Amino acid sequence: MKAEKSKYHLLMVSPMRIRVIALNTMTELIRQKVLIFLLLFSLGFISSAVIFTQFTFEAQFKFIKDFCLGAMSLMGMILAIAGTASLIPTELDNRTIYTLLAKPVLKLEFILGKYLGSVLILVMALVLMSITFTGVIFYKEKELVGELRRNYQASGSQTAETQAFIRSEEQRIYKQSRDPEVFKAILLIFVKIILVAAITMAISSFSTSMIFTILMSIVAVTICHLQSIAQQAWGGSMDIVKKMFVGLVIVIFPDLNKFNLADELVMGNSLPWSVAMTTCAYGLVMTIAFLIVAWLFFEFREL
Amino acid sequence: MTLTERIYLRKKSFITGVLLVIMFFCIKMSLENRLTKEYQSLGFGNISSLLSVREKISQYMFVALMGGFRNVVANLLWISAHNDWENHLWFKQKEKYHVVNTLQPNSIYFWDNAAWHFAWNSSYAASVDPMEPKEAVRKKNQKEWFDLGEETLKKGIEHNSQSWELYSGMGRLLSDKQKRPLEAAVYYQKASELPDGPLYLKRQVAFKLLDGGNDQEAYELMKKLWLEDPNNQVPTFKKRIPELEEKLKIPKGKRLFAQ
Repeated sequence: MKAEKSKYHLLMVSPMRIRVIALNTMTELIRQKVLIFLLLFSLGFISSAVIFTQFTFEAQFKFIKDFCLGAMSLMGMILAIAGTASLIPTELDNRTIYTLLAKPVLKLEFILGKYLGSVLILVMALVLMSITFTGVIFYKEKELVGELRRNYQASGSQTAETQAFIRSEEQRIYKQSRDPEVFKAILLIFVKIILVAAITMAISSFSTSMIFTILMSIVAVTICHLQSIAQQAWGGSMDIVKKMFVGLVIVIFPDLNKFNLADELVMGNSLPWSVAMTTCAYGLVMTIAFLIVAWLFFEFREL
Repeated sequence: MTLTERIYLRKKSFITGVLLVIMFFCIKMSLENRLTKEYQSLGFGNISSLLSVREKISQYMFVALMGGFRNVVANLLWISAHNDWENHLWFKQKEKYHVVNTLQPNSIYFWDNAAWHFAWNSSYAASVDPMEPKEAVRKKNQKEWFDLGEETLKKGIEHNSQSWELYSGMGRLLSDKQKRPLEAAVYYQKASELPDGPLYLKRQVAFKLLDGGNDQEAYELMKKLWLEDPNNQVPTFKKRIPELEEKLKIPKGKRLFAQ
């Protein structure tokens, strides 16, 4: 009776059950070759940024940061969609969901557990990509500093002025390579991809196939990127039907461009922590909203 | 638990969920407006600039642009413009630099580099254009490229008013290409006052004043710089200062270098 009642009471949500489901989901995802392949592909993609060699060092660092952060954002979104889209359909296909939900497990716990398992994979992927990115930056830094010293040694000039010049050039290289603002960009990419995973989870909760979920998620993510255009259009003149449609897009879809600040940060612009935290809060609020939507769809879905 | 109780609890859960979703979407709208204002005040994420370049880039690139890969698109276009330079496709290169600078107006490197290509490379190509037999037209075309370089740097400075590199680039362009050394001195002066501006920029001011015929001012500045910092005691100053003292007929007792 108690277990049966708990199935309908939100306050009876068990963190332990969510944890077990999350860890199992993570193990399942790690076993999926497609995800591992995607992750390896991402790491190779980021490592290939060292090819930018024919420009000045400022341009090289700019290109490496732009390329790597772009790759992290793109591959992160692909991983989020591909990983999350398969969770519920796989359980349905294997019929394991029936065994699981026959036990005293709430559908909300199932959704949260599955989602958190996917987030754990995304955290691991992003950490690996960040390590590779840092490695690329440090490799480039060592290469450029070494090149600078070799060039001046070859010129034979050992005056105090030359030494001062080398030191100032080295400082310029370090300023480019050891830029703490990059970590804010990575944090925003992380919030963006967990939001994409939540959107995918919401779609997956009512869809019947993985392909449908993936396609719908790609469409949703595209709309989210165009949301800022909808906001601009809202101010213009248009008929009532269009206005309602645009308004709906603005209200429902989050603006993913709010997380695309990497280019501004790479340019050397500073993003105050307060603004970065507000952006993260925005992402988390939307993530929670989409998870509630996912739960609502799943709770009332006939399995 | 009876069926009625179950239905009641499910309905309750549903209503709670819907109310929560509505609440979160309200918070979302409020946060979104706040972020839009904060980004505007920081000069971030200008969507209008993205829409303005739509006709100048391919559809795929535009999709990538809207997908949040503005920096990657700008870099690819810049590399493509670099290839255009190698293939002497000056007008294609010009269009691409325009798009690149629209996409990344805060990139000092892109402004400086574009202006350098216009004022040095494209202008030279115009001056020796084998397809144009009239020298007067070639000169006119060359001047147009110089002007474009100057205009590019002016726009760059508008977006990056604290960049010594752009002010210094403008000084170089005005002096070497536009032959307006006194205006160049003003830009070098401004560049030297900005954060991280190298020391040589102050010496450049003196040289440009000298090139502009302002000998007295150039001499006073050279003397001041020489006495101010030992790093300014460069061979060119050592040569120019006595020459100016002679030319300006500075009394022997007031000269920096004893004859």
